[in-house]
Amino acid sequence: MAKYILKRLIYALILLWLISIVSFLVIELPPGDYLTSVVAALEQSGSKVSVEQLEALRQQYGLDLPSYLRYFRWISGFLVGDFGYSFEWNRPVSDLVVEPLILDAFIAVLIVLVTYAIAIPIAVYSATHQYSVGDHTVTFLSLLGLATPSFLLALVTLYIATTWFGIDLTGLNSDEFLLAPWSLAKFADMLWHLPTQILIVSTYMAAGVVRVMRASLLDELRKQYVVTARAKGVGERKLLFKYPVRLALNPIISEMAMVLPATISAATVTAVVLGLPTAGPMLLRALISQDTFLSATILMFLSFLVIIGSTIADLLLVLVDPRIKLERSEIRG
Amino acid sequence: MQELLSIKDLRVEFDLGRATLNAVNGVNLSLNAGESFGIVGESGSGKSVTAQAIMRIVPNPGKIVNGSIMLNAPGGAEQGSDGGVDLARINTRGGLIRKIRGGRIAMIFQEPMTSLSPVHRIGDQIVEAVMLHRTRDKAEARDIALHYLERMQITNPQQRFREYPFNLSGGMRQRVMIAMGLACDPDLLIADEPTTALDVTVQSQILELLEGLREEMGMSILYITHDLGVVAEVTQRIAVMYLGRIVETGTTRQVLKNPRHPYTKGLIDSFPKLSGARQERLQAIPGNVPVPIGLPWQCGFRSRCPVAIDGKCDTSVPAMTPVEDGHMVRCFHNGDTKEPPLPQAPAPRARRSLFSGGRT
Repeated sequence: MAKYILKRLIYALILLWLISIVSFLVIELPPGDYLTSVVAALEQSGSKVSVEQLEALRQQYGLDLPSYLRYFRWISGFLVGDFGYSFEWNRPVSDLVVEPLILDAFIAVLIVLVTYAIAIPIAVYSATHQYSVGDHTVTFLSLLGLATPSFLLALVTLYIATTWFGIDLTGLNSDEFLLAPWSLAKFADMLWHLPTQILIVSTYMAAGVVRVMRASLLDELRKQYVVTARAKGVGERKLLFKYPVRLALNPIISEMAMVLPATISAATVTAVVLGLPTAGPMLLRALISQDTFLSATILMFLSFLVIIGSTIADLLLVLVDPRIKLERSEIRG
Repeated sequence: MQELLSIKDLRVEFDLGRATLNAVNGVNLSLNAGESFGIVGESGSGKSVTAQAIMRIVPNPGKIVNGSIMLNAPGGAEQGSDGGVDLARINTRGGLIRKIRGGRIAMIFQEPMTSLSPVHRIGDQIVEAVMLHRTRDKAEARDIALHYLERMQITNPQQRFREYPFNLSGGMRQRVMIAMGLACDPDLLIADEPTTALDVTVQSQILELLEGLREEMGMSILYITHDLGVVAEVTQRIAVMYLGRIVETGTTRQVLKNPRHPYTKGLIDSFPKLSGARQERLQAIPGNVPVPIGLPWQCGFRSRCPVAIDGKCDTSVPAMTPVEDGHMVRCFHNGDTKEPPLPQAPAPRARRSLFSGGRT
């Protein structure tokens, strides 16, 4: 097992390295660089930038170097915790990203948990009451949920909360805490604001999970081992949860590897709508202003989260389903 | 001999919405304690549904619409409990049926590959049954489970106990299933095609084991099978089913040596025999079992019968008629008694009109 985990980690590192190349390349793809957008902004406001000034700035930011060299400087810094310099914020990237990324990871985990907490009971009800009014309602709502982008859901929620109830759900903290340093009171205040986003994204994600879980539970309910257990004299409720539900969980555990990336992208978009200081809005802004190192670093960490998540999903599956066995050599380590 | 189970005029229907499928169409059956009984028939004869009805595990939308299934008290008066219980009327979600399932009647199924849970250890699956019916003590339950694994001649039971079904061959899994059934010391074991999915050599091993344990434990076994070989080997009495009715019943010897119903004769002729001179081609029964939906009131076998009597077999249903001691047959060639037509059942619920807005 230990060897298996080690192997997964090595794969993850290689994957991250490939991701770093691809994301760097993609970020460099648009014509121009950060200075182009600065110059454009300056010219719009009427001031002129001389060629010499521009060259000096280029050198200062290292933008005169070829791409591969800049990539190399940035990625080698990773080893010592130096993620490069943000042009736009004029600060080291490491100062900027830590807080939002922790928040992001925290939110992503909560979203996944809440998603399953919503989806599993609904799916169990839906599958055990197939074709009932409740099941049809669940099916209708989950299809609707699948078809509704999460940001739209966020906008509608905001609209309803503001116009009907006069509650402001945007932001991570109430106004009085905005500039305050982190404290218990601020944390408590955050917990009050977070659920909006978590519930919105979870509801959206749950729609898909319900579909998968309902289908797999319906399959399992028809299997012979269910009849065997019933013929043993096991009570219906215990039987349902001990046998078919247990087996129907497998596909949604392996689906967790897919749910996590979807969670992060949905969370990014809703965070923009809700004005949350997570990494999502920061990434979006950095991409628009071509703040290379900041955006590439955030992308790297989000990928890291996803890879960790899918590794956890794989390991969970091994624990839950004895039919999935690691190769002997991998178990013995 | 003491009667353990008595089925009277059992009817099971599947309401398919547009039509009603009459899977079991008035079955009468009596099973003695300690007896080995076989129900023989093709697919679609209603033999499995009969077995499922006893356990009350008829799949949806099947319903017992008539008849009784009396399960008599174990050991009769000595247990102090009077009378039995009518399984046909019992609440299928109640506590009583759960005590009977597994405890007094155990069932093993055709597909050893799928009838065990793939993600639970074999030992735990047996222990679960034992702890439901025999003991609350986990260590004792474990000993009982191991004991029966051993009895089923599973090699290295200690190790098998911790394994999962996918580690085992089909024959081994069926042994585990049987061990699970026997572990609660039931009065009746229903074996629904217990050897159909197995190799021939494994088949006879398992049948021998079952019969040995039956004699030793004093339980009854109800074999549900299409395989005359199984029936001939292990049962004392049999009933031949066709289209939801028993068409011939008697001791195994009587029925196989002296079949009186054309269907039984056809079944025997279509079965290869090892003894004696090489036979000519096997005789298949022409045609197929009709689907039991909206069938006319006539002998069920008429459409395939080589000796059907016009004007008789197509207008009435023959009743079970005794031909020897304990040997009964449902055929007009063996007597003239007719089955009284069904009391016009509560007029098959007047067809929903197009305008009543029912589900279509």
